[in-house]
Amino acid sequence: MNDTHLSFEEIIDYTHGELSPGRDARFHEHLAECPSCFEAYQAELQIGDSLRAYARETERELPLGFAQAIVRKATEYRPSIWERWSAALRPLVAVPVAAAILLVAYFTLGRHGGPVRRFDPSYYLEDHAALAASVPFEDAAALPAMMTSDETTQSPENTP
Amino acid sequence: MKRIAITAALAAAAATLSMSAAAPVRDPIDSLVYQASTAQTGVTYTGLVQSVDFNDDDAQAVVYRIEHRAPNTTERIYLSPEKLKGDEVLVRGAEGYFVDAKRHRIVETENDAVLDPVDRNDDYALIRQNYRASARGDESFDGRRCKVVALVNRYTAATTMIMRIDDSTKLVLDRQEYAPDGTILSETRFQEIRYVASLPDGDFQVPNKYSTVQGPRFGTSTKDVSSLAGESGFGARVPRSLPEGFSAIEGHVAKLHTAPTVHVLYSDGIRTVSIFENAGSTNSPRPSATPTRVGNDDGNYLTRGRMTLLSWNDGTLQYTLVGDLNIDELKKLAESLNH
Repeated sequence: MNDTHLSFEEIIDYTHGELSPGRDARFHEHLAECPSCFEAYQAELQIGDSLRAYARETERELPLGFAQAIVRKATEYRPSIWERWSAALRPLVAVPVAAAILLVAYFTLGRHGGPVRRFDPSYYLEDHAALAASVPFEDAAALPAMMTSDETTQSPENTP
Repeated sequence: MKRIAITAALAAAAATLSMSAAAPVRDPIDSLVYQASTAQTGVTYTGLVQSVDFNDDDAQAVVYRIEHRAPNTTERIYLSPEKLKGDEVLVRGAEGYFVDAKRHRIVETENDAVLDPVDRNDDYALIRQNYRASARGDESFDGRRCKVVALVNRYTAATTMIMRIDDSTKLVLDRQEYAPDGTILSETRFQEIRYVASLPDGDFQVPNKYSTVQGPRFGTSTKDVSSLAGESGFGARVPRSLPEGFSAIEGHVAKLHTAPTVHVLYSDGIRTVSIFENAGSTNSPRPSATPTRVGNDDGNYLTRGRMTLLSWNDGTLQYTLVGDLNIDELKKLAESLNH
């Protein structure tokens, strides 16, 4: 058991399945016993879920030829000197603003926002399936919750 | 819903015990169901299985290759859907290993009840108590002679399960489960099966290239729900009523992210439902969970295949119900926990 807490970056990597196998396994185990890492991890999932939900809600069908019209306008457009200068400065503003938003969301939804947990079905499905395996004719193997509920193997549509 | 007190539940459990110990299975159809419920312990085979879970919105199909060595060693390697491809479940007696090929990890679990023959007999006695076995004739299934048997719920008269049982080995080759309204909930069937004399040990080795982590362990469990609630330390509640025919199968106290959680499994022999209670924090709903009400409290539910999960907080305790009951049945059970 690894008692070392994960950094914010490592939590993001874990959420996206990008940690090394050994580190991933140790963190999986660590999450079960560390409320602070669990809350941070939940906050990260909550941000992802919220962004996906927002994207789904605001998704619109584009009119026919819309994309081609944008490309045409973009290729025809010539920016002024002022626009080119302000565009060069944009990352200097946008990056700190995005970082600030992420930090606020992280600290608001996560560690310091009170003990709020998501309705995370995986633990309950796992435990239920493991106990129910002793019931005759029970087919707990059909959809192993431990795998199907895994945080990154679900498409957003299937993730409760 | 049938009103029960915990003493009645214990009495029922005791009656079930005595029934399983004393009553021989005389009826040939009952006998066949009993043989089917224990057939895995006497037959070794390899095969290909397809399982489909249905719910109101969609269906989820899973295909896996299976190797089973009597009495209790099984390996399932998943071929479909894509998200499970390459994953593996290995069961060796009470030990289970869930091999997650994408994350390169193995989650290890343990449930001693799987090996307990007394529990197995109790479970079968519960089926007899709540279901009437009815012969539906003979069929040929993938070239094998089979008996078709329906299990009809004694309270609702609804067919809950239809099984095609291999004449020679008593193994269930096809199983369909139905909701009380007659809609199909799931079907699990062999697409191929080959009985063999033995399978080598090498087929049931835990892969050593992955990291192993500890999953749920159920070494010590009990049917005594009231004592379990007492041990919880936070005043876990016992339902005042259960769906018809249901009784406590086993329960335990575990830690869920450091919060002690009481988990009790109830069953009528075929259908199952778990009640989880802890004094932990409030669950905020996932975006796709459906809001609902449990008494005066806000709750959320979602479905995963044929399983429904209902979660709510009454201001003191956090409750989550999981089972192959529909949301109306879960809500009735939920309201019986509110005092």
